[in-house]
Amino acid sequence: MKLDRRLLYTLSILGVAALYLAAAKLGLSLAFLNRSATAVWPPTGIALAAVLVLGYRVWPGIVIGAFLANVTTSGSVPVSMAITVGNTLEAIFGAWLVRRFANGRHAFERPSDVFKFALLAGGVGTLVSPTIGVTSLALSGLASWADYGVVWLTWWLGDAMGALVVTPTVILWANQPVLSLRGRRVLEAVLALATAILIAFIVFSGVLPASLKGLPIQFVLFPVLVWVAFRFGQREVATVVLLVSLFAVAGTVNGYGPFILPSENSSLLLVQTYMGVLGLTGLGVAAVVSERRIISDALRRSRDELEQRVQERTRSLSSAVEELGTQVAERKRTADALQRSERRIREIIEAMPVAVYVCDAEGLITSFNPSAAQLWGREPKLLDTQERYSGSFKIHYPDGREMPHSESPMAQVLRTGVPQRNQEILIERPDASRATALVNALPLTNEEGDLVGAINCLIDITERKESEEALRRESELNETMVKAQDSLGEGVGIVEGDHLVFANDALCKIYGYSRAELLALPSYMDLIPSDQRPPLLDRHARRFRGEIPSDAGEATIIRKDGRRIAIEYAVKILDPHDPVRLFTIVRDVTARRKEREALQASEVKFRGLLESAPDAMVIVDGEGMIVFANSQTEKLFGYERDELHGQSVEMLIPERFREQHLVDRIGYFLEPEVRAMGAGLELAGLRRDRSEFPVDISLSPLKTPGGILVTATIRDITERKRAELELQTSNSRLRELTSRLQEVREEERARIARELHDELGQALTALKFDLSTLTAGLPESDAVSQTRARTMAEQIDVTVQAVRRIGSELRPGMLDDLGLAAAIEWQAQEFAARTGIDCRVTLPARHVDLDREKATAVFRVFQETLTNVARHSNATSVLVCLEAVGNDLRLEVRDNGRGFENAGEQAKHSLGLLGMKERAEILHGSFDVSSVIGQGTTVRMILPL
Amino acid sequence: MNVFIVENSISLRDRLSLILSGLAGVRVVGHAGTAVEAVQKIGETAPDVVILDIRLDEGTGYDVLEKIKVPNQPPVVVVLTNYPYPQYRAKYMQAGADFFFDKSTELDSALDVLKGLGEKGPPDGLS
Repeated sequence: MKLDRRLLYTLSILGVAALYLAAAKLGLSLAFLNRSATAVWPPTGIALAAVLVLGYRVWPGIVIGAFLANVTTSGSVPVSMAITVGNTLEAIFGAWLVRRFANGRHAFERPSDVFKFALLAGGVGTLVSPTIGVTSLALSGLASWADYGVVWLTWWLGDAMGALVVTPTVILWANQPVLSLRGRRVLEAVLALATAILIAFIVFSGVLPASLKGLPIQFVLFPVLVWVAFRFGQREVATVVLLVSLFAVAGTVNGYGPFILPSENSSLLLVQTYMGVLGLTGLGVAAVVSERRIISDALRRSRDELEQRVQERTRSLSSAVEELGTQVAERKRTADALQRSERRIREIIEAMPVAVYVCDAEGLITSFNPSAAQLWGREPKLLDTQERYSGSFKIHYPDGREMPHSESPMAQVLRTGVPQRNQEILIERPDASRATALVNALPLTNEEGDLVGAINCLIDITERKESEEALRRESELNETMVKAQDSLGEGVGIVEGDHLVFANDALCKIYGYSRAELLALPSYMDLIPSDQRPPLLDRHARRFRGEIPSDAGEATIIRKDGRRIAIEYAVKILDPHDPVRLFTIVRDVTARRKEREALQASEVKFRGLLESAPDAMVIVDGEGMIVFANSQTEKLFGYERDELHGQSVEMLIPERFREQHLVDRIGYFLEPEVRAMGAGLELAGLRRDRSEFPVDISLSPLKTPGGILVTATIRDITERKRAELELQTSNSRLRELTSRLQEVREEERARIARELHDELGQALTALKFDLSTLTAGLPESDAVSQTRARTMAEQIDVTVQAVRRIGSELRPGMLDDLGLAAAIEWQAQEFAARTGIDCRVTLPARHVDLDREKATAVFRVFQETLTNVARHSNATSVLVCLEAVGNDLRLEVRDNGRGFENAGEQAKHSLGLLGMKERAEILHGSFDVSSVIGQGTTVRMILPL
Repeated sequence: MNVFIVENSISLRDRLSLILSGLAGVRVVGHAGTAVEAVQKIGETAPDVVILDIRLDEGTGYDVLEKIKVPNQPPVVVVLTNYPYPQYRAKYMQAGADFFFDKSTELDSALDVLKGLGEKGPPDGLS
């Protein structure tokens, strides 16, 4: 049976293909503008009719026919394929339109359907093929783009005419293939047909004398058509229109008829219009007539029935006599009907989505439908003794245990004859997939009531089971969630209208009511402070209209005890079709809000503090990203704050320092402490304009819940640096000046000392020599002169001593002649002699080579120190030590005097000490004083050699 | 006894020369004002005694002392100076000077030494 159907299908496809090809060849013989775009295209009609009559599955026939037709025309395979696609789609699309809107293959039974058919199949459906076809022709170069419009129009009209003229004829003949005319009606039909053909011939064949040419006798065909419509029907009208069209087209193509225009194509377009009008008129009228006929038939039938009933009453007696006779005939009819109904049932079963199979009394499978094969995942052999009761690979109880086939519901029915209803079983397919099915097995009995088999309907409920399972799991989940929310303190409630219909424990706790009180509230708006109700009411109204499926926010509510608390809520409509049922989750956020406000306040303070800081402050997170920068930072670096936030802090540092900074930064985060950055290093900042400036940075860690942040306080020290440098320069100039002054003074002193010594000293010595000579010449007796001379000599000696002392004090010649050690020793002796203070000197063992400037400095410091000792210390002894240690020359003077407090401070303020310090520092040496009350004072000077 | 005077002040040199010449047995064989000149002339004249000043026009008495105090009959050196400090004395005596006197106040002592030298003969008996 299946093989038959397949064969039939194949044949129908081949038939359609052949018809299509033939019609195409006929049509193409009329092509002028382009070989592929013909003015009349009957295949469109064939294709559309084929789909409408045989169904969409005949499309391969159209494809084959169209492709053959096109490829033999254009010769280009790609273009032919494109056009084929167009042709096929057109037929399918047209058929769909007609089926959807114009009653399908019964489109010609009602005038309105006729016109819809003309519009949809003729006008709209046929847009597909020309558009695809002409485009592919143009693309391949088989037609020029310039002609696109004309070719398209020709194509479309050709297709439209095919659909309008050919399709109705084919469909109508297919609907009603048998011509059942008798007697005079045959004669009339022949006459009508002949008349039509004759007129068509006369109009379109050129047999008309020249004088009559130009007369519009083509209109004579209309009455003929109306005749056919009234006397016969749509089928006949369609046929006549088709015939006349053939004449019209053929005639016009050959240059005859009233539609001849200079261009053949234009002529054909004109003919087409004529044909269209002809077809539409004929079919329209025929439909009207047919409709009217049907109505009048119905009226006549009901009248006849009435009459018949009266007659029947009168005949009933006599009919009873005939009954026996008719019963025989009746039974036969019933048998036929039974057969028909059986066939129909079988067809229904075949098509049913429910698995159905039948077993005979032995349990052998006698038939099954495709749904059963699908459910089983296999097709059992019929009447196979190996397969009793079921075609399943395996079956199981719902709990998973395997069920022998002999225990199956089918087997039980066959054993007991009792129907089995809605038994749930699991079916396992050969590929191990499973399906859940409800089994409904019914016994089949013959007329005598003997069990002859059973029929089994299996409903596949796998999907339902799965969704039930999913639903169950979801509701379990929901329950768990509500419980979880309860324990989290999250209130869960369901609101219907303005009533709470469900509240969990947590919700009751939040509102401070018992559940009973809460659910009994007239409106839960009572929980809202009255001043906040209006906006909420409005929101509710919108929710109930379904405008807000879900939302969330914060609100204030009044507890039963009158306390106002802040809540956070989320509301969701449970069912979009019932938007007055709301699911709501409520959380008490009073504590959190307070916390947040406190936090915000402290943050505001903190920010204010940072903003008011006189220095730039940058807060950096563990990743080195800037999380905050104050306005001073903007000023200092020239960036807007937004440009800094979220950026790496290294952007503020000159590139050459960045790598090191990264390392240091990571190190700092590992061991954060308050400290200055880069102690002792020169730090620099980088402005937006790439300029650099010196900075001082101090760091302090800031512990936050989000981790440690570091606050860097940055100060521009350009000014300070400059001042420092200036001070340094000025200091060194002062020092130079001081040094120079001292040098000059020393020189001056040395010069005066020399002159005193040499000039004055020599002169006095000369005087002394002369006096000595004079004295030697004095007579011993002249005692007066002798005494005077002695006095003079003594006077000169005193003067010489004075001159020497003054000179030495100015600058001891010894310093230049004998060096520092000798000068120190001499000075110490001089000091001891003059003051009576014991002064011991330790000198270096070896000779120390020292330049004049340094020797002078040490000597002068020594002198001044001794002066200080004499003036202030009350010391009785002084220890002097001059030594060379390594590359240093050290002088230490230690007295045993009373000492003084705060030697370090004094050294800064006493001009004398400052001067000594200065001397040492000019020569890159050092000077310091230490003193302990009651234990004396020590002065140390160190100079590099 | 030949005496050589090293003294940069001409007026003092003349006076000293006059005073020494007045001593019995003393002959002033030459004088010099600079160290170089002194060393050269002392070499030429080979005096018995050199009267040596410390401060010269060029160089010091020390420079002269170092050159002339060589073996083989060195002259007796009498330092006569206006720098009569112990530090100078120590340095010159260490370098070979025989006597060290203050020019202004100890001229008589110096003359006594010369007189003594004249009486006692060759100077090597001293020291």
